Amino acid sequence: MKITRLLAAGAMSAIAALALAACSSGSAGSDAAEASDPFRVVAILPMTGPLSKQSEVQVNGLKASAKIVNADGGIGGRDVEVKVLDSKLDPTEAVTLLQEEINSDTPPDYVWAGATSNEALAMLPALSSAGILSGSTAADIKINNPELYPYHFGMQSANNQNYQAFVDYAKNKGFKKVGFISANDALGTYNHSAITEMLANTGIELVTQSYDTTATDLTAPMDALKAADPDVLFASSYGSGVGYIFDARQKLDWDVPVVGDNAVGGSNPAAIVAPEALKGVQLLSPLVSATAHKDEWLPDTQKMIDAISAEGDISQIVTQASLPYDALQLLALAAKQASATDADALKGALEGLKTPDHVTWTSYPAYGFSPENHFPKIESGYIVFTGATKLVNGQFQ
Amino acid sequence: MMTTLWAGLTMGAIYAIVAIGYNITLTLTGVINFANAQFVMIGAFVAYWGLTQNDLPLPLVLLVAVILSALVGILTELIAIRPLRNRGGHTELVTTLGVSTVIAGLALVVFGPDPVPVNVVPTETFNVLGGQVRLNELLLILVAAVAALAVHWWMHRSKLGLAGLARAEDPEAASIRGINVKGLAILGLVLAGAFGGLIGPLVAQKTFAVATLGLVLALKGFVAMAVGGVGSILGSLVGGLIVGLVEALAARSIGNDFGEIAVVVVLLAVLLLRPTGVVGRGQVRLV
Amino acid sequence: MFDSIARMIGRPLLAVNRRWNVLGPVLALLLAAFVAALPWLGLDIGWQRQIILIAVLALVVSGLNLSFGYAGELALGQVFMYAAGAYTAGWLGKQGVTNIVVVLVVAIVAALLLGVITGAAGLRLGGWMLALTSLFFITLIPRVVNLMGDELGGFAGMAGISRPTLFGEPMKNTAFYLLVIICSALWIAVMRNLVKSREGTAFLVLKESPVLARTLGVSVYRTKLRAYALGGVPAGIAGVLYAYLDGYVSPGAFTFELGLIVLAAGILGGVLSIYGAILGAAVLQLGPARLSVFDTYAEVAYGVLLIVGGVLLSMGIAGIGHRFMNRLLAAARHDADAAPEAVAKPEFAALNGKQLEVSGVVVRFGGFTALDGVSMQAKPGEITALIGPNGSGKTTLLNAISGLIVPKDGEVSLDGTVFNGDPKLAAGSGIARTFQTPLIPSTLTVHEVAASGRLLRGKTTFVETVLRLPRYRRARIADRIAAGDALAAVGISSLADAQASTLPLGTRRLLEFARAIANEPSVLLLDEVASGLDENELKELAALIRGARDAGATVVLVEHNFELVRQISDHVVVLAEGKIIAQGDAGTIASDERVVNLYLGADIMHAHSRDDVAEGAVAP
Repeated sequence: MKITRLLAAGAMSAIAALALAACSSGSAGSDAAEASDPFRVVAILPMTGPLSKQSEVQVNGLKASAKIVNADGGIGGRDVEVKVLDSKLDPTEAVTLLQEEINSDTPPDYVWAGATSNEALAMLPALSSAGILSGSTAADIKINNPELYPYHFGMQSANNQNYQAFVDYAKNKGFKKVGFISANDALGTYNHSAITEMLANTGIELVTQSYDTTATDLTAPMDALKAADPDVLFASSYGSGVGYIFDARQKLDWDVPVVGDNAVGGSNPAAIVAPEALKGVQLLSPLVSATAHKDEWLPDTQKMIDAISAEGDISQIVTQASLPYDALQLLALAAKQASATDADALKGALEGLKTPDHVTWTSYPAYGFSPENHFPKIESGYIVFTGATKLVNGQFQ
Repeated sequence: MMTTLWAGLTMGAIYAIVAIGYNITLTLTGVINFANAQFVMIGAFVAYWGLTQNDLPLPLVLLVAVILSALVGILTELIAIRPLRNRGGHTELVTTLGVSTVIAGLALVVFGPDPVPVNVVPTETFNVLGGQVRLNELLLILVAAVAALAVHWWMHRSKLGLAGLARAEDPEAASIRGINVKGLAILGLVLAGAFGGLIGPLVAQKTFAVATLGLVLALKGFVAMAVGGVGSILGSLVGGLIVGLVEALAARSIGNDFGEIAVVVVLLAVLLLRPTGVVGRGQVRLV
Repeated sequence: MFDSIARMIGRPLLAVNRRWNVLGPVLALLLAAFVAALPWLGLDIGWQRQIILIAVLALVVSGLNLSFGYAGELALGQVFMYAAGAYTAGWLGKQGVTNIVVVLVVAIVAALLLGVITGAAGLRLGGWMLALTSLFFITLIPRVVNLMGDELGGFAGMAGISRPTLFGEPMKNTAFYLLVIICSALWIAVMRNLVKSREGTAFLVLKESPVLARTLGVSVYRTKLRAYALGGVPAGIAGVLYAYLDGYVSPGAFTFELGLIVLAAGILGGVLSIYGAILGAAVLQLGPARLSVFDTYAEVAYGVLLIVGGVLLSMGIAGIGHRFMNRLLAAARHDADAAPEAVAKPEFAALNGKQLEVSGVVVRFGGFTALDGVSMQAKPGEITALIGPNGSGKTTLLNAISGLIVPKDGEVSLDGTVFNGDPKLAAGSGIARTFQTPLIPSTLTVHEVAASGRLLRGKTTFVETVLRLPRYRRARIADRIAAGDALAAVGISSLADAQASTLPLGTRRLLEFARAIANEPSVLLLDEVASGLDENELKELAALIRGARDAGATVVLVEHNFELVRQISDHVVVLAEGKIIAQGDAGTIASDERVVNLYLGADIMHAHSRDDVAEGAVAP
């Protein structure tokens, strides 16, 4: 009994001593990269699960871009290496993988941080404190916070900009009432507040319906919207929801014109529902995914499409591939302009990027990063309207 | 409004179909099979493969769906349920969940994550009693009602069905009386599997074939079963229709996402006021 | 082979087993200290993070084990408490409160409150219904979080939760790692002290037989609620730690899938164990995460893990370990000592018998009248036998006396105190009983079963129990002595450490008797104690019953064996169809014409008719 008591006391004091020691220990410093080292890009994406296809396309965008950059001498003379890790769509798993990379002998120079805002937001604190540059397609405006996340540059413009195209369209057509439907998840809730804000002082009335992401029938909210009789229906949805919306509209025999946002377009509605159900449907499409606007494309667009197609089928909307593609092109350019490849130099160069004679990025006419803004700043005319046609190479035909 | 009513009944019929599957397995096998709704998903993807991709004749596709789901049912019983017999402790929740995950995972690998369309019957729309409703929706409601009545009748009239009910009431007594409990257990999974597989294609015309379908329906099926009464086949039908109707009508009349909230309220009310369900008499032993 | 190994290591094993109460915690503490020291032994940050994630999951699983494994109710409410803890930490952080002690206390209180509220509503359901409903309700967490508004970050989540502080200093990585290990170790210690106490015994008794729990004075509903609410505490702590780990919380972390992962971890580790939670959590945290080799088949592989794990480990890793140890121990014990020692003349301490009065008791089940105005007495220092054909209402009468059944009319009293339908009051007044089919919780040791007779005696509080304060120690010593004496009195002391599930029927009856005696009862109700016993056992039993009577107890005996009744009873009451048809001493009854006719017409020996079985199962 006595001995065991003693052992217990010993163990307790060991813990206490460790606790004290821990308070005083600091974190290890990081080692600077050699110029001959490869430029390490780590993509942490949900390679399995519902977003696996999308992630695959994003990876292809990174790989294609890396090949082109490497052929041109790499980023600041460093060869680009792309490593892919599976976050399983779990933010905690994403951070676990990220930590392992940061603490490995070969920490990343750039992280492609997740396909969703949840993954990105979870990884950003660690990325910021490690001083590692990152980017992603996650477009929640919380992420556009250079003060908190100085090294993150969002590659997808947020919907409070994208929706301007729809608002302009509604104004031009003289619509008085807009119907809006979205899922009640992170994306839908955010989009709901974006459209509400943008229509606030336009004199256009807004009626909205939301639905649960697990719903398998949307007759009820669509019927309710029909009863409100809007001049146009603006839809924000993805996956099966897109199909349920158009299916219900057809069943309700409702001939209201419909505009789908970029998420609707990205879900490729023509693959889910019959053409008859898509009559009068238009989609908000980035320039790069509208073949009808081929003339307005940036010079390297076809080169980008070809390069990515060589990696694999572009089964999703092309921006899923072109945005990560652009990310590496931007980094290569920034390295040239800064004549350095450390994170702070690249960050500074990206914030004041000078447009070169030959633009190598493809998705936006300009990205417009600045010290205060780390999300693409888009011009009107970048978002165009297309019919809900089949996607080929990620582009509406 | 009538259109919404029809839509509610249709969704209710789908929930009822899943709930009936749960109850068949619960009565004959004595467990709640978490993978039950995956039978519907199997049927859905078989239909996509047979009808959308390969243009095979419908009867052949249905036959394949039934056989495949029934086989999966047998495998489920042999691998995930039989080894746990008489051990208690709800472990079947974990193993059948494992089966469910495997099925969903395979669907994801084979067919990808995106929803795909299935057309079993023409996409015709009718105006019935002042509401718009599609042919496949009417069929779903009809099938659920007929199936509930048929299964109920079978359970209470046939020798096997009665043996199942006796087993559900007292497994030990049943096995002493010479009822083949093992055989019944297999039968419970085969029937639920074949049933789900058979109706899956029709469900898919409404919901599309998508790998996450099983999980979504699994939960709503539970709610339907809880509302209707655990162990009661007719209760499954009533519970499913109540859940579907409440969900649709609340969403339509109160608005926005009140559909789900209304379902929760109904479920809470039933659980607190009538824990045995609207129809059930709590005759099946649940522990 | 097995036996020879058992024999070889038997004695030291038994010695270790006897001292396990002390050795176990010390080993656990050393292990915790070792894990805590790992960062100084060169464990990299990545693995530290894995260990933190395992600890967080293990805490949640541990909560499930307490309410599901020990108290027997499967509700996955721990996920709610986990979310509550995480959002408490996040919200407090936004208000500028980062002191880890304060945050933990607030989170624990929040978790407890949530536990009491959800438990009070949910535990009325029980069984599959409760399990599935709780799963369904988990799916509503994101909605609830979103309804709370921007404060909690909505669907997008709460980002940038600042690190916790201790003494005003933000905790660095290693300090946070230590915090997690210390919190987990502390909870495991609390859990261990709780489970290895009368509280834990009460949980296990309740889990196996609510009827038994009630006759021992345990309130079924309140005890379940307590286990469930307490199970929320580690979940709340885990939530806080999780929120601080990445400084990010989103509703996507608290899903239906998490509920299933927790359940799977619980079952794989063994729900009926203290340390199994850690094993289960480790399997689920490291298993699927490290399965990335399977790549596209990751989900399939995870499913296979659940099936294989569930089938092979249906008792949990810890459960299998226990079973193996028990087999070894049983074999070793078999070698070490012989069968129950015969007791020449059992010795009981003086028992303070009370006069039992039943007057005009009426009990109805639906339309069936089981007792129709029964009045009888049983006096201290006498053996009163209740006889009658099957279905005559004997067991129903015993149930009414122990308070399990509320009579429609009439009253049951003990020395003038009326306690109609209040089992707790009945047990508190000193009524102890045995059952037709012995109710022996299989997960307890023989000694624990005997001590469980005293659950009501010398009430100790939760804090006293967990901290092992003097009052708890005194109560436990008293329990140990009384249980030891009771086991000695019935002659099964040598089996004290054996698992109750391994006993043969005769020994089970003796053990039930010991459990009843351990509480120094005033009234002893014995329900067909003789059935299934051989001649020697019968003799022994008769001596025991007489011994209890001679010690002063009021003994009521329900018995079919008229020979035994004739030998030992002082007073006999004959029931038929819910009415008393005769009473008197054994000689008078034996010659009573009505009684003889009744018994001649029926198969009096050891036959259980349907009615009798139903009677036994009546108590809700």
